[in-house]
Amino acid sequence: MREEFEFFKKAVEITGKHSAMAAELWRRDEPDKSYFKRLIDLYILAPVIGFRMNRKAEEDRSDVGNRSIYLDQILKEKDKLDTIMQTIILLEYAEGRNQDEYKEIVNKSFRGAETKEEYDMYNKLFHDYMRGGIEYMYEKLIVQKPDLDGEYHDEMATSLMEFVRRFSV
Amino acid sequence: MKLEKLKLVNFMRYKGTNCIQFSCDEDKNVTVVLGDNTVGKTTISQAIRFAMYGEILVDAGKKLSDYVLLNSDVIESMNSNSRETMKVELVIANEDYKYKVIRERTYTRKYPTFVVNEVYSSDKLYIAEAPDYDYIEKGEANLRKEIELMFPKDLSSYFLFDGEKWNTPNLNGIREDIKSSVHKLTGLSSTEMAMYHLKAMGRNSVINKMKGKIQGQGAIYESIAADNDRDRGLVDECKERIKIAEANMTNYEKQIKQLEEELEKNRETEQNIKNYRNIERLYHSEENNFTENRKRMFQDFSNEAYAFFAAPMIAKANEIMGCVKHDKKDIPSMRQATIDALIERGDCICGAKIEKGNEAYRHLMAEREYLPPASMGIIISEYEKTAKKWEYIREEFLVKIEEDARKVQKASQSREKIYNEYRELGKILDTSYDSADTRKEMIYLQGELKKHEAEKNRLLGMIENLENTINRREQELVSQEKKNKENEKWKYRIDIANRIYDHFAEDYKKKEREVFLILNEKIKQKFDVMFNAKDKRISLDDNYNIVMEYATDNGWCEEKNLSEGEKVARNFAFIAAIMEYEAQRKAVGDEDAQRLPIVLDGPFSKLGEENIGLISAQLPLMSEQVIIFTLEKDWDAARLEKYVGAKYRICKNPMEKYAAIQEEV
Repeated sequence: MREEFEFFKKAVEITGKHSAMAAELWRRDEPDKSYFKRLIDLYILAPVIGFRMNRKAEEDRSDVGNRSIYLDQILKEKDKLDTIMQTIILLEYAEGRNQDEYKEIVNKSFRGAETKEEYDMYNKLFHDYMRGGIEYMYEKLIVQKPDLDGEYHDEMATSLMEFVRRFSV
Repeated sequence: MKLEKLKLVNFMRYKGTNCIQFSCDEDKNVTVVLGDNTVGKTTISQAIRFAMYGEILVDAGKKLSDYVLLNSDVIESMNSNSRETMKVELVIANEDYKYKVIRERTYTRKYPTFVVNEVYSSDKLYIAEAPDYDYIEKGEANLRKEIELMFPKDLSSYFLFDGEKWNTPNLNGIREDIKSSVHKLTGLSSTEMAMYHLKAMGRNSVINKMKGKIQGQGAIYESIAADNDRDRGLVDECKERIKIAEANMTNYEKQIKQLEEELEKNRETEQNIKNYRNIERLYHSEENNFTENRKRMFQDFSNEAYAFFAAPMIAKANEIMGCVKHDKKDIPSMRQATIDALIERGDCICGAKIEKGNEAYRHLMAEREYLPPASMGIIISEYEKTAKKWEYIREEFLVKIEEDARKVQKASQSREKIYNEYRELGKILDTSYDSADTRKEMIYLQGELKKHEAEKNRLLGMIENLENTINRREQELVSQEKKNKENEKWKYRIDIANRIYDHFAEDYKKKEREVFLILNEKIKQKFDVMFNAKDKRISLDDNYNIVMEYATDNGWCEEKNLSEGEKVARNFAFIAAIMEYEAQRKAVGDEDAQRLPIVLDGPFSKLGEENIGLISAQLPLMSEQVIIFTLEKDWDAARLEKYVGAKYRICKNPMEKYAAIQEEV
């Protein structure tokens, strides 16, 4: 992997509607009402959720504001992000392939981007899932009202537990 | 009253003994002493003054001690051991009495200077009574007193008339109290004196001394009674203030009772409100607990959710990688680019030189084959390690989140329960009621009540003290009652004295005005007669100052710049008026009336011949006795020879320093 095509070495900007959704999931200065402690925590989890729910979303450029994650935060969490990026590339490209093709796919995943085209492609893949994950979490944790007659009474805690449990199976 | 005899011994210009026997004849009542200028005429006049008052007329700016009364020729003859005496003796005849005044001074000389020291002084008065005229010595105090009665010093400038020196009536530079002197002569002074003694002497006056008697006894009673009156007033005042304090206390007690009742009535509410506030606090605590738990839950989720949710993906990826064989000979974190960099540098990490084809080069190139990206072994190994770590987090995550959720649930339930209690209690309570204000008001009212109680007690104490004092004073008053009779006596006396004073004052005022008007009229007449000045006139002002006025087209104007002759004329008129007034009083049998001799020293020196004649015509008539010291030429103009009863001449040898008086027969 050439250095100039290394992932997660730039600040990240979440734009459009995804920015507004992220602002609901991560509420600055309201730790008891925010599902995420930091925006980067949402940024790490969202592509995983998007991938698992097979949900991608294109970048939205509508003028509803944006949210930035600074480079220093990105660099601190680069190992986690690299791991998730490698996993997504691997699983994305291994899908529907036979075992003989796996070595090539594994090398491709772990070698990273060798060209500008590869870099853009992988990057888009990651962020499409990231945006899809934000949309999904927004729907489940913010929009959808939980069943409060069950085990828990607090709406946010119930929503979160329902969300976690849905993925724990 | 007449001067009978003057005897001089070594007095000023006169050495040895010189005598003048004044004429006491009723018809030939003039004694004349003739002498040239500077021979000693004025010295005789000074001797009379010295005899009377123990002093002489001095020039302006000088005092008596500047003059040597001992004859200078005598001084010259003295040595340091010798003593010499100067003596003046004057005999005065006043009806059945004769008064002999002898003033003696003994001196030593500060040899060889001509300065003398007075070493002995004697002033004596002898009084002799008809018919035997045996002189009896009287004290010096009597001398002053008798002389003052006969010849008031303030008027001495009039009857000891020094025409040469005498311009304004003053002696020793001090202006005399002419008014007072005239009153002495005219008999008003006795009334004046009586009034003075009765009232005007300050604390030594009769009335004030009598008042002092009352202050010493009766006033004490009044003072004590006044103190008791004042203190009774204070007691009444204290009682009034106690009433006010009690009214305030009643009011405060009532208000306190009302507040106590209100507090009692609301005691249950108050307790409920207290409980409500406790629950409220508890609710806030539970709310915080809940918030903290939920925050922790979200933080735990936020920190580790990636591992939990990515776990199936990692598992699938591992499964795929398991199908691919990796040699895994590479060195962790080293990549082919690292070897390329070492070769390019030419030095290995171990220090060996790297040159193309040498052993180090070959060795590095062999290792390069095992490094990514050509070989992915090490990267995959790292991925696998990360996967294991994430798996571990995943396992813990769910347990942790579920535990967090339970805690949130528990806190939520607890909060809800407290909240329900809080809400229910809030519904039934009037939480706006606050007993704190009531209690605060109660404390204020209790404080005020205490203040008024203290005030009341203080006033009661004050009353007790005052009443004790009043009782003590009452006992004192009983003993003072006895003394009151004495006070009444003194009050009666004071009343009498005041009445006498009022009587004197009224009489004095009347007489004083009468005397003033008579004298004023006489002065005008005498001036007209003696000076025949039609365009000028004189009169007295209220203080008996003689004012000269001149006629103008607009009436009379005061003349301020008097000539020497006018001054003499003015004073002659004044003394003539007094003399005539006294003569008239005597004529009507007034025993207090004084007829003074008149001693004139150079009276005519500043007057013209016509005026000398006019004045001289009046002199023997206006006084019982006229003594004149004058120049020969003025004496001729006076044309008084037919009134002369005694005539003397002052002789002085130009070669000698002293003069002698010789009688002319």
